Amino acid sequence: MKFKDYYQILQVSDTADLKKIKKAYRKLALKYHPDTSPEPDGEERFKEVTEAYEVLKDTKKRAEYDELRLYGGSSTDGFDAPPGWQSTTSNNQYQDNEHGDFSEFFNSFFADRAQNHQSSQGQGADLFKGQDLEMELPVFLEETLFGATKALDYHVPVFTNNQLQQIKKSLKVKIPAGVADGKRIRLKGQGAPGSQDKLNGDLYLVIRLVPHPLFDVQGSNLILSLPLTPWEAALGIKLEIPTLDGKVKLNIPANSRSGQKLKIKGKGLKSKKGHGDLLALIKIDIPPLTNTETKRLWGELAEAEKYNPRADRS
Amino acid sequence: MVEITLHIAIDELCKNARINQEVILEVVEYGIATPQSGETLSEWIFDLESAHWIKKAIQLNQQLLLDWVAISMVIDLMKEKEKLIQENDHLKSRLRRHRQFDLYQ
Repeated sequence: MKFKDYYQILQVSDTADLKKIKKAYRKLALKYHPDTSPEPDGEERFKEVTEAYEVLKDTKKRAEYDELRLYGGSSTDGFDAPPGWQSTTSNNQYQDNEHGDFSEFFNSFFADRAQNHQSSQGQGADLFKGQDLEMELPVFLEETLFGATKALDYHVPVFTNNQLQQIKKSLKVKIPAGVADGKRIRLKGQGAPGSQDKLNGDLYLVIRLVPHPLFDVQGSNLILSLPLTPWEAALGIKLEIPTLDGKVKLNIPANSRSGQKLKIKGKGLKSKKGHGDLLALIKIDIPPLTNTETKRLWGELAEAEKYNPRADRS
Repeated sequence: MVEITLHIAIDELCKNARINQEVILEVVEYGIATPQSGETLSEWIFDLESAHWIKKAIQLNQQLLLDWVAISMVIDLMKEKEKLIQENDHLKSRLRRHRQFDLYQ
């Protein structure tokens, strides 16, 4: 296993007092925190910094670490504990799930899951709660109307003999109707395993609506671009338009304008308040001038109609 | 088929996040999350979005050693950022469709 120089990671000397260590940790934690850091390796660095602070903030752990550092801190060929060395602060018989992301070095010498769980749950030392997991679940707009059963494949981190392994898991989940983008669904006990089934972590699914080839989402409303020819917009027309669950007839009134939205009530997405609406967004599509006859007819129209859309600018 | 839930009770949330109910009370008092139902503290039930922000607040408190006022501000900004990202994605998708339409013309 590789030795971790926690002083170097926190960029402090080995004589630094707790105040200095805390200050260094805060500075680096803010710099590398996964929620804010733009650094490409931010998450990894954050774990390292947190691991280092976890040991150096604790007087007993720090004393033990200093001992280990004296013994083999400069070793480059891998690190082993001194013969007969026994930690008084760790109980590495059971793996610490809370520190599941920490290094093998930490987990071998400083993992104190048993202590944490005893104090937090008031139960035996060998009980521990599995980690909660979170993953995104792509959902099609159509599936939100009536709900859908989705097959799910994911990996669960499991510790075996100080080694982190990813175990593949498959589930079938019924997604309720009316879920919105970004909403969370909880699957109780489907996260990382705990010491008992009832202590398994939970799996959280974050709903991500898949972009639709025809519809845009605006809250619980759907927007459909509706191209019309100039004469359809001017004279009006009855059209069949697509909705999420079929087709509906829509009356385009005469004198419709580009950018105008026609509401088809109740044909949007399902939500807590009921159904949203489908908004058909009119766009006037000018046909290309391909022959002289068309050009002549446009010319005639221009002669007959003196309308000037820029009249208010003069 | 796995059973799903859309909320979490305070005792379960405390057990999962390894905190006590007083911490949740503090998070609620700072406006970071609001219980969905429940008259008294021990009866509080949260929707999963609120539970997510409570856990995030506790993480920030433990990892960055920030006080609750700062955390409340950070969480507000994070929520705002999430909303803007979502809005931006929707607008980009509409703009793409609009451009496709113009190219077609």
